[in-house]
Amino acid sequence: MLLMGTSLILIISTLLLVWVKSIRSSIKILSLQSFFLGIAGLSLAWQTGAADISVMAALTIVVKSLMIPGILDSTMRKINVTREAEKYLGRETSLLIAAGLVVFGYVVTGRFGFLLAVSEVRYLPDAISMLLIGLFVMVTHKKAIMQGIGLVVMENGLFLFALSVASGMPFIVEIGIFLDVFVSVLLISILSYRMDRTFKSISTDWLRKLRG
Amino acid sequence: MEQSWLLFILAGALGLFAAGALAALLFAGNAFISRQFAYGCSLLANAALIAGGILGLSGETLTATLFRGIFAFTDILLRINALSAFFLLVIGVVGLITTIYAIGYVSEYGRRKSIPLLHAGLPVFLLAMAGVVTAGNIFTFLVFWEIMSVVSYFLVVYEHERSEAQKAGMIYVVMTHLGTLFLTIAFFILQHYSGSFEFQQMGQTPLPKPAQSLVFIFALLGFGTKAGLVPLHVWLPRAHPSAPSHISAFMSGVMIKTAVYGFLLVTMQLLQPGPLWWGIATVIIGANTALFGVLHALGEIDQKRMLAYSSIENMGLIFMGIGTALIFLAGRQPLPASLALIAVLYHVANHALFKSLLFMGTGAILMVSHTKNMNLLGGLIRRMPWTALFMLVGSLAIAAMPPMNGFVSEWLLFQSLFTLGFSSHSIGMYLFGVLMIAVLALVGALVAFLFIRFFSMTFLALPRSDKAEQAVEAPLSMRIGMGLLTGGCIVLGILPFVLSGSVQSAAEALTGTSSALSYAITAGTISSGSSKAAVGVAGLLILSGGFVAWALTRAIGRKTVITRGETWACGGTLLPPMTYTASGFSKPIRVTFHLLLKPSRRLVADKDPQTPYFVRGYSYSSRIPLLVEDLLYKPVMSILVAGAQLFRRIQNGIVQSYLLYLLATLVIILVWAIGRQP
Amino acid sequence: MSEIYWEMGQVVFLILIAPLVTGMVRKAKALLQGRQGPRLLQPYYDLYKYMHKDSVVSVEASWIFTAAPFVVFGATLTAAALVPAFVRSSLFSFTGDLVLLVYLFALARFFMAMAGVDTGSSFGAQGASRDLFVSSLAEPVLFVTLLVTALPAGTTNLSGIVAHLTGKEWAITPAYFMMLVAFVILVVTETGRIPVDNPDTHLELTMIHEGPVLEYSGKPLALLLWSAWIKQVLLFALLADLSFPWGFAASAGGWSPFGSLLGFFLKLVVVSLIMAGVEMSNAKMRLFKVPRLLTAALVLSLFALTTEFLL
Repeated sequence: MLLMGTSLILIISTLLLVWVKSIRSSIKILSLQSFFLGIAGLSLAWQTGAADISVMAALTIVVKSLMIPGILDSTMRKINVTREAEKYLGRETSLLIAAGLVVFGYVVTGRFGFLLAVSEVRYLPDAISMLLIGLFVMVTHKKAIMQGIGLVVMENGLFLFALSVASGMPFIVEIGIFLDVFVSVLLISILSYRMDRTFKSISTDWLRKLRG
Repeated sequence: MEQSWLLFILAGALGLFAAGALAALLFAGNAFISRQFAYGCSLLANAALIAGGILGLSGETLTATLFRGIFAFTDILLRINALSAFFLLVIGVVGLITTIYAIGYVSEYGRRKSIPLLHAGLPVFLLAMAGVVTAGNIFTFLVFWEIMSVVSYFLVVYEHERSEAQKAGMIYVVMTHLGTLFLTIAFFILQHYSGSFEFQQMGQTPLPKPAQSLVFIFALLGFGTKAGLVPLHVWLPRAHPSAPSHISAFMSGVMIKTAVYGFLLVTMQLLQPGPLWWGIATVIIGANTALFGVLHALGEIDQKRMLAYSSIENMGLIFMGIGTALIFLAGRQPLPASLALIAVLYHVANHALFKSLLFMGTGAILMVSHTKNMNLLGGLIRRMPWTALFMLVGSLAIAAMPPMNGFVSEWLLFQSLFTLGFSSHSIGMYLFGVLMIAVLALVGALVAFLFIRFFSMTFLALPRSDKAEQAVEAPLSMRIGMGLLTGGCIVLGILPFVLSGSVQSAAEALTGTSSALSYAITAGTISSGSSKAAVGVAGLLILSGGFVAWALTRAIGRKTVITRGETWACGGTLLPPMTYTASGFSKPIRVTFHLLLKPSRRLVADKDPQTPYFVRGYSYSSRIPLLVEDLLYKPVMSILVAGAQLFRRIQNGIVQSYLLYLLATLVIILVWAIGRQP
Repeated sequence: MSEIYWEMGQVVFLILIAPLVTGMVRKAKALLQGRQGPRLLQPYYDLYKYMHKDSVVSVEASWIFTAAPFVVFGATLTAAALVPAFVRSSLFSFTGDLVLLVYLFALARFFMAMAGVDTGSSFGAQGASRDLFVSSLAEPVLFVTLLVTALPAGTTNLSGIVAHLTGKEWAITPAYFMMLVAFVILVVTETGRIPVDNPDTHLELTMIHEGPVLEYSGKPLALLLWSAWIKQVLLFALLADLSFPWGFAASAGGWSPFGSLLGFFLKLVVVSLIMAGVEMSNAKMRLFKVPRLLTAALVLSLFALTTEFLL
């Protein structure tokens, strides 16, 4: 029951990320998603009895659900820009493509999932969808902060994928990836702030001028 | 025990070169010590090379591993046979003499800070060349070949503040790496079929016919680039003039010969005798190159560019000889092939001598008058008498005038082509031989024209500019260098049998037969008795004829008085602008061959604005366009650049698109993985 | 053994007869033009005259100018020792062959050209330039033409060629006539006769040999003129020997030496008359039309070679 619930929430939150218009909403969705990801991790850890997974899940809840959204939110407050997320594709088109990616995730799972136990299979399509949609978010949004959010979602997907397929990656690797994402988001915040100061905008369109 | 001596000497020579270069760099602060080390070690090492060359001519093949590499194929393996020994000898002799010359010449660059690099570059360059001709496996060969190319690049752009030197270096390094690419392909095809990286093993294994021809084509392209065969020659007229003169002497005199060595190695030692078209193609390419080289040389007024084109021409002649040998080998006639190879090897040695000599002379002229433009020189015979004498001998030698060494190799080439015509059974080959003789004769005559022009315009008549007027004689070490080479030219001309033993051994190493000369004699194509020895008699005859002439002038008539007078100049004073120029001297040739050269000229009259009948001055410029570059290289390059521009659109500067590439790749991989699952 | 003396005599004879041959050609030309012309032995008198005159040398000239006449004479003399005129083998036939012969002439031309430029006079330089231009194109044709006789003989040695021609395997073929015509054209070119050049004048139009010679006087001039005449007689001898290869003296078979000398002299007379005829029946060509003439000779020779091979 719990498994189905968390799985559903994860998928819906991912799709919702593509639908919302304001950045602050996206941050809230991210927070929610990470929280339920942590719950899923904890439940898996309780099932298999592995200690490091529970540590990772706890870390996920603390950092990705609380700290990172916090940083992003404070950056948003400092920046004096419109709160709207500028995209290349419209919200309906994005939603359609994201739904397609979710279906794609299910297809992939269906072909490969016969090797896994039931509880793990439940999360595999979520994982693949989160990975692809996180990347998709990075592709379609113009503002730098959204790219940070997309990155975190990608990492969520990766974490879930590792949980499903291999009951977690080696601890060191997990911690390393975690650190990478955390620092990346930090950097994106700082950069957004600087970009805003310089260009009065955090749209990555300006970066086009840097090509050789 | 000679074996170990030989390898010891060779290793010692290589080590000395390396030591000299390192020392030059270590003592970079003290210019004097750096110079002494570099050139001193070079002198000793060159002497060692000469000794090694002489020892190695005994005919057996020796191999030795110098360093063991990580993998088996990365050993540094040396291999010496008579052919390598011959080339070592050439490298050593020219190296020794040019080093002596260089000691005086580099004082021209004395004030530069980077001069230790120039000092160090020379031994490394020689080291690489010696390594190329003694390499025993693919790795060694390519390593030394690369070192040679890279070091020569740096030496060519040594005067980096001149933009044409930079451009020349760029074209040179691109072309030479293109050639190396072809070489590598050829070597790896050979390795694939013979299963070994070592040349010794490769020679034993025959390849299937298509693979053989592929190797041949790639070897021709690769070595042809380095040798300067048309149309791969475009770097030569730019690179050789831009380098410092002693380096130009090395590049023209020795470096392009390593390409000849490589080509002979691959086609005659590593491959089995191939089909007839190999030889015919090589001869045609060689003839084309020779004619192209000499015609363009006649259009040049820059001395060094002219000499570069002349090197192209001589390489053409050499490849004509190699092609003739290939034709004979294809017909299973090793003896005439050996004759052709003897001609080729003689010409390699001769050209090394006289081309280095000529570059040294132009270096001396450049040093004292700061110009290479023949239209600005003249009258130097009085100001630089020794250099003039040496240049005269060099010009006579390269024009193949008896009794100089050039005549010997030209004569041998003639005889090889004659044998080709004489021994052929089909009308096609017969006429081919005759036509090639005609081309050889034409090229020979044009070369004589070229060097008469060179010598006359530079040294005779009146100085055409202040630069020529202020010229002085070259420093002693340069004169010694030039004098030694001049002596070599004369000696090899009068006593060619000095070299015949070594040449015969080297040719034997390639075709497996000896006594080609006695064959030629008994076959009657050469007159009885060794006619090569008799060229010396011809030289003595000319001298005695001159003596007879002098005796006649004393005997007949009374004792006459010689007075000096002004040259008749239609009643006026003879001024430099009234004398003939280099451009004018070769004008008839440019006119006759205008279809091949397509010269263009502009004559602009600067008229008086008041009336068109009074002209204040004329400006005349004529140029021969670089046809090969315009017709072949430019289109290829523009296609490449257009293609690259197309690809550039991928890099559009939008971060998101790069991420899109990632996303797409991920999805595609997943789809593909799905498809593969049963 | 006595053949050696005859060979030496051959060389001396060629040298001494050269001015006479020149005189013959001039006399023949004059008679054809309806003039009396100079006496036959005039060239000898000219040489004598020059040998007794002082010479003036340009201040601009260097040692090359002074050395050139000696080198030219020496090279021409060596060439004379190579050509079999009336004795089947020449004195120094073992030293070289037709390649050496052509290159000896080239050596002479080398020094003449340098001497022409040396004085700084543009007349000499222009003559040198044109001389080199014409000979650059003539040399390949000369080789191809001589190959018509050399290839069947299997050797480039002149004595060997003559031996083949006087031997039994040889017969007159149509190829031979073509070769002879081509060779006549080449002799005209190499000796600088009309239609290629006019050897009797010193004008800008006709300066191939005369240009460099112009600055010389006195004994060196005598040497230079004599060398030119010797070269001419050598070429005539080749033409005579190739067109009429009978009457050679040899130790084994052949005519007696005196007879062959007389025969050779007669051949020279005939060739001189032919040359005079050629000169009289043509006008001098424009310089840049000369390559066309040489191309015609080349085509003839190639044709001759082809038919010779096929028959």
